[in-house]
Amino acid sequence: MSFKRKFLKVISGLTMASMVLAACSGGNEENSSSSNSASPNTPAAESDTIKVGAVLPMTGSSSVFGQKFKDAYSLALDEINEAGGVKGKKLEVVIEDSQEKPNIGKTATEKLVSNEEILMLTGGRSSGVTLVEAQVAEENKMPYLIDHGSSDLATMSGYEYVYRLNPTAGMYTNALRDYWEENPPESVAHVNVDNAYGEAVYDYGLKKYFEANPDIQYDMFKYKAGELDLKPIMEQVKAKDPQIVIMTAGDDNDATQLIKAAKEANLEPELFIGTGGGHSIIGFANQADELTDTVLTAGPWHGNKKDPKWKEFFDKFTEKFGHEPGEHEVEAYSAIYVIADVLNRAENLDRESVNKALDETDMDTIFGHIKFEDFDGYNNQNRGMSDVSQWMDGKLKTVYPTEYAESEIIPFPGWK
Amino acid sequence: MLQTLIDGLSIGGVYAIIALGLTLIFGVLRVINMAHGDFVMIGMFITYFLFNSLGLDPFISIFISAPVCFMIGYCLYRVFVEKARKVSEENTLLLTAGASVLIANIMALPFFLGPNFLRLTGENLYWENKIWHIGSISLNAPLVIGFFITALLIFLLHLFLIKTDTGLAIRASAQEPEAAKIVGINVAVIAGLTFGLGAAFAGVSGNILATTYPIYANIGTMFIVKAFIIVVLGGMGSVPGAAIGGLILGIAESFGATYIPGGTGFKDIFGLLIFLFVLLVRPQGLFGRGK
Repeated sequence: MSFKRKFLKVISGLTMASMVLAACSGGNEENSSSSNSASPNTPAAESDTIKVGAVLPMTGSSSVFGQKFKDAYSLALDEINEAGGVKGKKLEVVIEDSQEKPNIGKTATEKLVSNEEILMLTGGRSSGVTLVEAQVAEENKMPYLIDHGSSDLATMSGYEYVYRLNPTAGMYTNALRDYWEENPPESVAHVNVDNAYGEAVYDYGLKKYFEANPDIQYDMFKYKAGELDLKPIMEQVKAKDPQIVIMTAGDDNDATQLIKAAKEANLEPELFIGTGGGHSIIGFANQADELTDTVLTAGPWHGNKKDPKWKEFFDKFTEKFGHEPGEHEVEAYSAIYVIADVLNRAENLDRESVNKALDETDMDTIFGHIKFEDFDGYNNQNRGMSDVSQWMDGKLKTVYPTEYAESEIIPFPGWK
Repeated sequence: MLQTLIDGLSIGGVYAIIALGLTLIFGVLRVINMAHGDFVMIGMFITYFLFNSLGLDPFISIFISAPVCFMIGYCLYRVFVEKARKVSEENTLLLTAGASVLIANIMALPFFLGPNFLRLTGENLYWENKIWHIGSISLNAPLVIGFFITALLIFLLHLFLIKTDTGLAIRASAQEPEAAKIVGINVAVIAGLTFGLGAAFAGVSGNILATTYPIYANIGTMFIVKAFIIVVLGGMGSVPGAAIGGLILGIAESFGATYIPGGTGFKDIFGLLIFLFVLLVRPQGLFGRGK
């Protein structure tokens, strides 16, 4: 056989082998300590670290979110562990990559669940993955503290092991709807994303308001997440000449495409209002620059800015990571503190005890007071606060409710 | 109405240039290049890299991304595709599909694009959000420029194929590879050149698209489907077919998305419906040679 053929054979053999190996170990974050040394039968009580699992998008279009949670978790973990840890043990978060895809999120959750050292779960991020993580957690009696995923269904399904500290997508627009009680809009066009998140924002939030106020014109236009050419939909919106344009985007890429398309179509309402998600993270301002000025977003509040502990976290995070923390980082940081509190109160270091302690949570965090209640069809849901904020010069300032407002609402001046 | 037409033509021009590369590769070599969309992505990456490191305007960096994509295409052909071709045509499909996955995953490495979505943005980017207004019509400036670049490239390609010796050699190899060999044409090199040329066209479209769209490693898959629809619609191997087909697809998507309620969510369907319709009524495509 000629040298060239032999060479090609060896190269292709090596390539195949490395691909098979990569596939087998794929999905693991470099920091996740897969317990290869400890046997899976070692209960958490005998280990000197306490492990909590989190399913996050570490790769793919939403990896920027995964990184936010990882960074904020690490800040909280460092503080807690420096202060002595939980029950004298080190607290650790094991992250599995969901790639923001529900089917991969399912496998990731199952992997964490099968690790007997892991006592509870958090994370999830997107509505789709959170719902799947919740289902798997419930089926396996694994306590799960949702820290961001917003699909209302996760805490409306009567699950006993699933708790949520953040507001649901339906609740995102609570503050906005309060604002509208005093300043009702005349006509609204809503460009909504066609997935679980978009559905929840409307079905459990906006729908109530517009059905109660049928005189206000409301039109919804749906687009697929990841759609690049949004100009046609903005032309459709323009034809309705709405006073207010609401946009729903799950990530900053969609949010950016939307506002760019609005400019291209020369759509000029009085106000653009996003509903959290992509509209409430710095990535939106980074990608869309001056197009974001005066864009509002109605979503989870960014924490109690009047709390000195909030300011401390804000400064520490900004110094360590080089950018200001937003709502996701505040949620993640608070979630870890809730988890530490839960684990400290748990009678034993097993999942049942942890679940009981989680149920009895009643504490203050920089995200507000955390207590899980049953109300309005929700169960194990914290009454998360929402607010309305406005972008200006790459910064997000709270504009409503008035007691937390940092500035007044500036109307959209039109495209120059 | 006119606005929708203009929007359709703007994006149609870019679709056309992607399809042009594909139809050249298929028409001359009978190779189904599943990695074609990834060359678009490579073009986008080069644009992004050159702009961020040297401040190079996306349209100027065409002079760099075109040759780079050409070389990558040429090498891909000479080293791998050529061998697969010798066995059967179906093999080239599998090979290029594998190449597509490989390229996309290499480009997703942190060294190149990384896992995030990137965007061409910055103070000195003249084309960022640049909209021209003529009356009440708004034009996406970089896409309009792209349209004219496409027109120019089609014209140059036509001249190249008809008037130059190399172009003649390409056409000869396409018609009768054995006879071309007999008259002394190095068919292997010519084939590589054609593949590289097709890849270069895809790269150029990447430069144009990078001004408006986000850039990420998997974006190739979005374009390969559209390119195939256009190639079949216009006639496999037909340069005017690819051009007209691209415009038709762009216009169909634009009108469908604007005038049909919920159209944006189903935009891809319009192209596919046209595809089905053409195959039923005129299977060789608009400009294809009937068998």
